[in-house]
Amino acid sequence: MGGLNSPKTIKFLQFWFVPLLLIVIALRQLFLVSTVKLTPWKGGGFGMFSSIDRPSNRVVEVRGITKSGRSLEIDLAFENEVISPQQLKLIKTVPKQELLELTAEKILNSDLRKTRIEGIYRLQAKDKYSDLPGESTFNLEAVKIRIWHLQYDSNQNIIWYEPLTEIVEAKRS
Amino acid sequence: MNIIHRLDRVIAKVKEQPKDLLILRLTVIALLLYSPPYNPLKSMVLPILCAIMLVSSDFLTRRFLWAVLVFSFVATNVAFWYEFDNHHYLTNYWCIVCLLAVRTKNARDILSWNGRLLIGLCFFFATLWKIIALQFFDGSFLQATILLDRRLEMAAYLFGGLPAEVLYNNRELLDYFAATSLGQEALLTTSPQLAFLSVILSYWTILCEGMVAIAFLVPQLKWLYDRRDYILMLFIITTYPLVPVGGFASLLAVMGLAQCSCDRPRVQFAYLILLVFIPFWMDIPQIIFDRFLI
Repeated sequence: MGGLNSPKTIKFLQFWFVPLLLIVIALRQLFLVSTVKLTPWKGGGFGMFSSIDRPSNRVVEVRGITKSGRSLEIDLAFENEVISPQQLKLIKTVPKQELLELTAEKILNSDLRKTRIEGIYRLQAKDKYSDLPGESTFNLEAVKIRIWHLQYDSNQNIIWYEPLTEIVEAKRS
Repeated sequence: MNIIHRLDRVIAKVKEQPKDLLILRLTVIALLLYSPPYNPLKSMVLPILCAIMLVSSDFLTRRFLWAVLVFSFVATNVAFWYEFDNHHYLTNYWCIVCLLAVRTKNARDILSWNGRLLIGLCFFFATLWKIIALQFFDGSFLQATILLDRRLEMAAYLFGGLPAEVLYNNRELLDYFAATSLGQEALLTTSPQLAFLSVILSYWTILCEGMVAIAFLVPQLKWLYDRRDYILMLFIITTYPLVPVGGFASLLAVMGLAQCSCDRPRVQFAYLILLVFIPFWMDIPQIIFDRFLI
């Protein structure tokens, strides 16, 4: 039996370990793309420049539903204390059901504030700035989240966004 | 004449050192210039570590120092796996190879073997992706990317005759639709020559990348295998001025040099020249374009 220090093992590590590691990670990336819709651009599978489905061409659509049934559009791109830019990148790149559920839960448990853009709201941590005069916040009853990705038809030269995931919903129990 | 003579002497001196040391040095230079993002050592420790390794051959071949580099790169890659680009992964693989090679009797063989396989495998998967993503055969991927990616504005202008304001409007349209009109269609502005050239460039890319993969992975195809270095250099020279990813180009050139046979001094010399000129070769066309054409 050859141990870790045997010449055979050392030779295997020196000549085959890294190429095999590349193959395993590339196959994992192919698997994740087909199962959890990882973008081909990321994950170490060498799929960059193969598809327009890159993270920057994915859009996270978030809607908050108030007690009165109003649907509010929430833009996660505004800086906030609830969803970090890294988390936003993660859910765009790997839109797994569990990640989307977790994100929806986080949004449900935070407050909303108006932005300067009419009809667009941003997140803020629960109860933060709630005592500021004139700053109305909204308590949400439900949050719906969905990822869209860019499509392109070269014959007609048109672009459009298509849903990449189902709508994931978090409700107040 | 004097400059050429001096350059000759510098290159002769570079070539005098053992090849494995040369490869390790060039790797360290590439890390210094293009190390992957988010590394906690990047701002202070990494440059100092690389500088020490460059100055002293003894430090260059210390396993501990390579282990520090590998650990910091791999840990960052694991934490940010969903953000790292392909060449960041490749950089990590190559650093592990360097760690496995230093202070071994067969360092040159380890670097050469792994360099060839890593290049071949990376091009194999790149070609595979271009085939299965189905956006290459009709040129749609390249056309959309050239029309919408700011970094490819030069290609849109040179190949498609599209002025900057048209491309700006295309990008604005994309942003507007992402913000307000998901599910609705928008018409981009393009030109017939860009549509045609996108198809030609797509097939050229698949052909070139596929040839690199086969040439590096199948030594039995002797004709192609013997010309693998030229095909890789052709890929680097034609691709990176349009898609300026210096880290990838440099790493490919270092790995190309590592696997290049020692009885081909001219080809090795060509790799060295390529490495020196990569930063200029990639940036100069873009600078000329930005300064004089736009």
